[in-house]
Amino acid sequence: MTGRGLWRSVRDDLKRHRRHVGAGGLGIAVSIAALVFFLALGLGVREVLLGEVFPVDRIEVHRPSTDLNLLAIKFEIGKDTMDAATVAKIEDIDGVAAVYPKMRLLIPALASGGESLIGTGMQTELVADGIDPLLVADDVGDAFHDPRMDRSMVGSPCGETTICPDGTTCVGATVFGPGECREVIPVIVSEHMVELYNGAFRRAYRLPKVNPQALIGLGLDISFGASSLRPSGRRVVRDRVELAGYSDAAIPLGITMPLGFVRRLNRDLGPEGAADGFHSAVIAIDSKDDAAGVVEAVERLGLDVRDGGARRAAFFMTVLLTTVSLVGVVILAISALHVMHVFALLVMIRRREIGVMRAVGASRNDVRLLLVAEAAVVGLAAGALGLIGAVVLAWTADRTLAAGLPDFPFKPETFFSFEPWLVAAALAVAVLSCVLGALAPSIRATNPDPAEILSSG
Amino acid sequence: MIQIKDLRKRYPDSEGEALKGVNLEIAEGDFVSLVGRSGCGKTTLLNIIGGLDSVFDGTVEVDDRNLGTLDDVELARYRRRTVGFVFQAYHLLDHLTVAENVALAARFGPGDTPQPADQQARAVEILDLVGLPGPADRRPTRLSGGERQRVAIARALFKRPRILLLDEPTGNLDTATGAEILDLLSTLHADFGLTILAATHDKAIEGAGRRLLRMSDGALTDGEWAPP
Repeated sequence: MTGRGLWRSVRDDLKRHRRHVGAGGLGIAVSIAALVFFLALGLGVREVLLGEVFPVDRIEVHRPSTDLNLLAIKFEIGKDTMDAATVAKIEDIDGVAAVYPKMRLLIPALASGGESLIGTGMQTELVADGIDPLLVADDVGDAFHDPRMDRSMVGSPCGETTICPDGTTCVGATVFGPGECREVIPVIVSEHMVELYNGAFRRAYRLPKVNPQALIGLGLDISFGASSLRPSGRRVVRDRVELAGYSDAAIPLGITMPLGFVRRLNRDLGPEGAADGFHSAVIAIDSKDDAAGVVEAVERLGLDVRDGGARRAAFFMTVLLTTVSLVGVVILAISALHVMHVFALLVMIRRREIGVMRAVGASRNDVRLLLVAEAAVVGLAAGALGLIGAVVLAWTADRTLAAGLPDFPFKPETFFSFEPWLVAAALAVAVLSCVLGALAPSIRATNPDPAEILSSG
Repeated sequence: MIQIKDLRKRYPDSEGEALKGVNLEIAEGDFVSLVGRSGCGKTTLLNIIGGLDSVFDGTVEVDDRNLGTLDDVELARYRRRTVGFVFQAYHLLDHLTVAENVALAARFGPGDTPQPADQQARAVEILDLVGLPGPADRRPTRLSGGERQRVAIARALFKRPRILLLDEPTGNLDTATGAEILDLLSTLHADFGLTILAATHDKAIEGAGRRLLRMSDGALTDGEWAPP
């Protein structure tokens, strides 16, 4: 069949049978509108839930410890850390973009300072961990890094009373010998720490409220290996840290230092093997769609996801989208049956016409192509109509929800996400369902010879 | 040109054979009248020669092509290029104009008229040839029976076939109109050398054909040369 002839026939036939094909197309349009509406709603809610409420583009995993409870004491059995090989296995999981291991500081430490801020010096036990600076690069830029990573550099010798150049501090000086002037270690903290201080802590101790941004650059002296609780019996190394910024990736209560620095402290001052195990790892995921798969894979490695909310959210969204898709597929299947019925009716009406076309030189495939092309045009038009319907419905729903729902955290401007692939898929599905609906009647109608068609038509 | 050997046809719902071993040769340029009572197998024979019915036993060769061995696409091309078929019931498509009906075959294979304007011009030319110069843009429903039959003949001639098959071409027409159609067929045969096979009850067509074949109960019973 010629392309021009096909187009002329399709145009003429659709114009002539506009009522019948309109009825079939309307069913598809309604189905597509429903499918796209619910899928766009699912995607939109997912975007808010997984993007803002429970961001699952990053999950933190750890190895759960097995504890033996004995009255008030829990005895740990086995290791609760992961080694470098486990980290490498996580990196190999499909959908994992990067892995950022974390390591706790496994030696006691005392922090002192704060005179410039609150007028009086404080000393406190310090909890700390170390993370890869790349993990918080978006939050604090390159201010958070490991300045002493290059171990070949040696600072100038210094004593306990020596004043080192700006940006450096005397590290390791004791009454028994000199230390060396080395770079101050940048640290980050969680904003929740400042909230906690500005909330209950400062009120209890009658201290001034502080501005978080003004604290950046605040220095603290740290005695690694020292403790006010009990003698550690370890070598004590005095050092200095400086607040570089805030990040949600920082330890909730304590300070977070560059991973390399913590590893060196654990190795030099901690128990044997303290620098070998990571206590957790933050996994960056390529796409939110991969979250469920990645969670499943890390669980197979014997690890637990620390953020249960994200895990539940990912699972909930997977279930929701699957359910919505299944409902949509059922609606579409019913519509395709409707189209099949309409085209079967049309083919019956056009039986004589099909016989005449065959008699003057159309092959079976020519006529099938004509009928299927008509169905495809109907599907395309119905798909476009359905998309417009879905957008209008979504717009109406957004306006209604905006007016009816009270303000709540993460309340989005729209609950719908019409992604380009969804639009393309909706059109493709509409065309496909119409074509599939028309296929069987067109094959059935063209199977007999023209003589048989004309004698019965 | 047409060679038929031991042609048999049985319809699925029928007990007996519609064609019972028909043997026939038709030379190029023949004008053959096929007569016989209703149900004797005339239409079945025409359908098979015209490529409208591909299920049969025996051999049907047209220009040394065995129709029984052609696939659907080849058979469609044969119907489009080699034969023109005129039905008793005209079988015009009412939603198309007269010219579009005539040029319908061009939609399925452009041949020498790929452009719609050329197809329209050729349709008008053929309509003029069959004595219907005016109504190219009208719908067939606005035409008389005789005019419709002329349109059907024009449609059959559109692709310049070498064989014209007519099934009761005057069956639905009054005597005067039937005579006009007969004149037209005689002219087409004389001027263009078309091979014509017409199944008919019409005594006038019986007389118009150069060769008369009688059919009865699925078999050819008699054949004779008609008067020149």
